[in-house]
Amino acid sequence: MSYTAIYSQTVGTATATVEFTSIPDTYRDLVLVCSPIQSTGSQTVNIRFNSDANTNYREVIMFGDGTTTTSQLAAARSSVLGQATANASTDRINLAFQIFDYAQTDKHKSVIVRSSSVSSGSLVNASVNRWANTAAITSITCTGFGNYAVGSTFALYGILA
Amino acid sequence: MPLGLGFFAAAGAATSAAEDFELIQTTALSSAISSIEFASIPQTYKHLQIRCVVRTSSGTSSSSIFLRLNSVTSAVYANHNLTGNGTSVTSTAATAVANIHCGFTAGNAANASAFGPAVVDIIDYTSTTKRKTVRSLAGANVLDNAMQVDFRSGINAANDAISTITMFPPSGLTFSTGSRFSLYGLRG
Repeated sequence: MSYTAIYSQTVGTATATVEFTSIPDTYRDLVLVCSPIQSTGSQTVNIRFNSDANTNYREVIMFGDGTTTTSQLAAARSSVLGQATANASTDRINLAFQIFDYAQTDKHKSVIVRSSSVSSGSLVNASVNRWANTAAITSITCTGFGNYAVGSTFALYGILA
Repeated sequence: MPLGLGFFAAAGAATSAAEDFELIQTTALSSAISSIEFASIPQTYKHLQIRCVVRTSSGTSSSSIFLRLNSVTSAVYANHNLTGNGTSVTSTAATAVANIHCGFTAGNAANASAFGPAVVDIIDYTSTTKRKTVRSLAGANVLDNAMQVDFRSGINAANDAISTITMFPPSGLTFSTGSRFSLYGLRG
């Protein structure tokens, strides 16, 4: 299958971290689709590769809030930010992280993020990110603010090339 | 909560029908080339998607990716874009141009290991009753202070089914070693 579901999880007990490990290197791209639910405070999905928590992530983002468009860049982040934020337990946000050539060791890793939220402070976002590391990605760690509530979903897909 | 290999199978993995999203062709460059072409595209899908990571020989940090349909080189395309450069968001349009602009990618002045990603969708490519819309989401995140994210759309001026797609950088440039272009068909 060219587009294959690799891992899928629906959170059954509130948790601060969702992690995908031992990611097979048999695909070319990965797609991580998330629909987190707020447990306490705001919620989003930020991802790190291979547990790298150093400031090795670069981002340029473009978003609109229904009134204004904004673009920002960050030269040194400690994760790829999902940007969309759920501010209440009834808010629903969706994020898709597209990770290109994740197992190739000849280039830094490129990530396109699309996210949106319908809540107070609703945003539609797109960003392009670069993890400044040529290592193959073998794990992805998802964290946000506080815990992901029961019912939050995370699905990882592999695309052959 | 780590999910190790095997979790998906234990959870009762969902499987799709046979190849609703199917790889048609991949070109991964082991040497520089001035253009890539997807030819003799099967007419058995509903839509097409191109996924690529690209770098060009441009002397600047970012560089364009262009696309043509069915080898049409005349000025019959139109483009629109919504672009964020880290400071502001701009939108422009162009009509009667000789290509579809898919976005910006890494040039040769970018960080040595930086490539630019792009996802390009071509809707209803086999239709003979409508013009073809090309939609792309791309970006160049190539230096710590030089980055761009692009939403773009393009349209051609003919109703012909698409059998050939050509992608190329600006005139005189090449796509660099390590660039990769993959074409997928989506059934519908």
